[in-house]
Amino acid sequence: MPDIITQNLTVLPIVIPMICAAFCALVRSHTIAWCISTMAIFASLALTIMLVSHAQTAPLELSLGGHLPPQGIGYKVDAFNSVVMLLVCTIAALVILYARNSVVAEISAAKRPMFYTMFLLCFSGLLGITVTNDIFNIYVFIEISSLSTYTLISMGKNRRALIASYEYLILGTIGATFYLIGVGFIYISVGSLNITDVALRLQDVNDTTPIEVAFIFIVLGLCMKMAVFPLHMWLTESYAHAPTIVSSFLSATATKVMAYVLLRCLYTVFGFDFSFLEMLVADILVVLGLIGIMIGSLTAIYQPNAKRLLAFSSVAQLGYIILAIGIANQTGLTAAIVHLFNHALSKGLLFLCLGCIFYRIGSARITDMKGIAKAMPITMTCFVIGSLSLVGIPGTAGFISKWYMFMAIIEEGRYFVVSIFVISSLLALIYIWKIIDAAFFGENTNDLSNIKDPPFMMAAIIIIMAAMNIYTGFDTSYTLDFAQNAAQTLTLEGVRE
Amino acid sequence: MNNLISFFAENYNNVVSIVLMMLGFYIVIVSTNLIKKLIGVAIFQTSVLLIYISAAYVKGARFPILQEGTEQYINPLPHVLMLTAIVVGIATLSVGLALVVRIKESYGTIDEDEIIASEIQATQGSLSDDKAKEAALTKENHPKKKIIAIQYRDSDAAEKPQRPKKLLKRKNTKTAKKANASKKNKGAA
Repeated sequence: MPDIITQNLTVLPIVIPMICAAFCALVRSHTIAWCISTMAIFASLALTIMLVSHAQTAPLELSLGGHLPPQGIGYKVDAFNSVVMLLVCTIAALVILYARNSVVAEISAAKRPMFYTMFLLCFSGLLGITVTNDIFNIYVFIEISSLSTYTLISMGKNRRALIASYEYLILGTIGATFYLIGVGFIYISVGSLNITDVALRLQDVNDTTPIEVAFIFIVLGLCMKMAVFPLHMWLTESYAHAPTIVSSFLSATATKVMAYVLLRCLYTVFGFDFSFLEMLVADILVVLGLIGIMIGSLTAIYQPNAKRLLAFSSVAQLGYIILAIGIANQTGLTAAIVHLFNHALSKGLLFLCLGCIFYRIGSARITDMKGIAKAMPITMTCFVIGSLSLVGIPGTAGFISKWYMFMAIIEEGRYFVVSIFVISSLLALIYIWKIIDAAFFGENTNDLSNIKDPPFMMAAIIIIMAAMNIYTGFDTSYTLDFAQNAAQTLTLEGVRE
Repeated sequence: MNNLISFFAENYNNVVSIVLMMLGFYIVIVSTNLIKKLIGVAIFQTSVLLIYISAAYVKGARFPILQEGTEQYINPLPHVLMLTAIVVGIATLSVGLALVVRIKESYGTIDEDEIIASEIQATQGSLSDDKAKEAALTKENHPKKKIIAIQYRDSDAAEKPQRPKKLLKRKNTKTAKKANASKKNKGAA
């Protein structure tokens, strides 16, 4: 291993895709652009796997350009954000392999190289958010990933994709600007932007008004980007109309990364005592989470479009994550982090299966999917596995996180929350059953003879993801251990003397 | 009252940025014109720049270059941060405007209400697709409609013969010209 790689291990996964994005923009051929982006993402994945093994024991730090923090920008990878990086890289690697065929079906030929450019930029932006140790740098990376996300969403075939993208642009910009205001108040109060440094200096000025205002702005802005219940309208529209690859990538990573930033701010920047005991964010998060779960699940039941159904289901699942963060004990935190992983796996799989269906029948409406299980057995089997994982049946990934959330709520003795938790799982069963019912037991009047399972690469990817869903349901040594380790580091950082 | 006036006078920089921020926010919420909304977002972002810049200002301090005789320097970091934020703002605005251009191309309007109205019409059309087909079938069998349809056909029939004639004429003239030209060329050769 050359020295230059080991020294710059934290920054290379972000820089490689960013440079390759520029090359993709210059290329006109779809295949070459795809090759470049695949190589870039797999290089990032390999480096991230190395990072994860390093960061489990001690955090890796790097100061960019040789300027030492707190003046320079520092990158820091610890047990928590290395896991989030691994999640983003894994999903991106699977999605990019899948994209080869799917892009041909969903995006016009002239835009394809640009699609890969934007995909790589979004990917490197998301990785940058996780790896940086500087609150202003987080804002910059949020904007890099968001700007590329707007363009990715607007590439949807339906013209409503444009409106969805525009709405997301307005709301996303306001959310990010709220975050910027919060960062400004912190900087004015303590004169530093480095997270470690800010955390130290905030202890002296914790009970002043500017810090409280900063806290409110930052949490509000991040909730907007994360699509927490009352601020979720952009998510459903944009996931429903974006190309399927984009929906699956974003639903699996973008909101999860924002959840990471929220956790980082609540625990590391402001500290547990300030966030949860002084500002009482826990109760707000629990209430918003519960309302989000119920409204998201109930609205999902009435959706005729399968993509929008899954988007509302995403709102509900984000409600679970918010709820678990709001429970605010060690088990709840672990559950939230595990659910970041497991929901990414299950929802990513479901969207990719929808992409396969869209590839063959050219529609995402549930009425058009009648009886396709006979024509596309592999796709629908994977879809069922993803659904089971989403609902939380034992033996799948979703069960692990739901079980831990259940434990966390019981620990706190909130039995009302438990009841809603159980009801919402049943609601999830209802809305996902609508698609399965149509696909397996519906009778289609149209001719299905030329509809078959998707091309080899797409089928292979959904099979791999389904296998991952089942594997993490039985062997929790990876996800759960990582999450417990991450939760421990977070709570250690969150406790102030 | 005096207190209030002096408060505004002392903190006029912050007051201005708050007023700008609320103006921008108000435009985003109230306006139905998509471009005006983007202008609102831009004003909203700009107000945040003012917060940072005014926070960096120190009365009587000099720019941060080492010089003899200066004791206080202005912190340049907020200015640099805001340069980044300006770039982000411009990028957002340009992406937004590009989206508005595309929206104008596909919807023919940039008014939000009109877009929503056309979308509602479209979704109602697609939702009652089967019903519409049935209705169309019955309409075709309806005696009155048949007459109208026949009338249309008649009028079409009346117009149709004229078009091909014109085309034929044009073609004839063109071919004639070509023929003439070729003859001339041949003659020249």
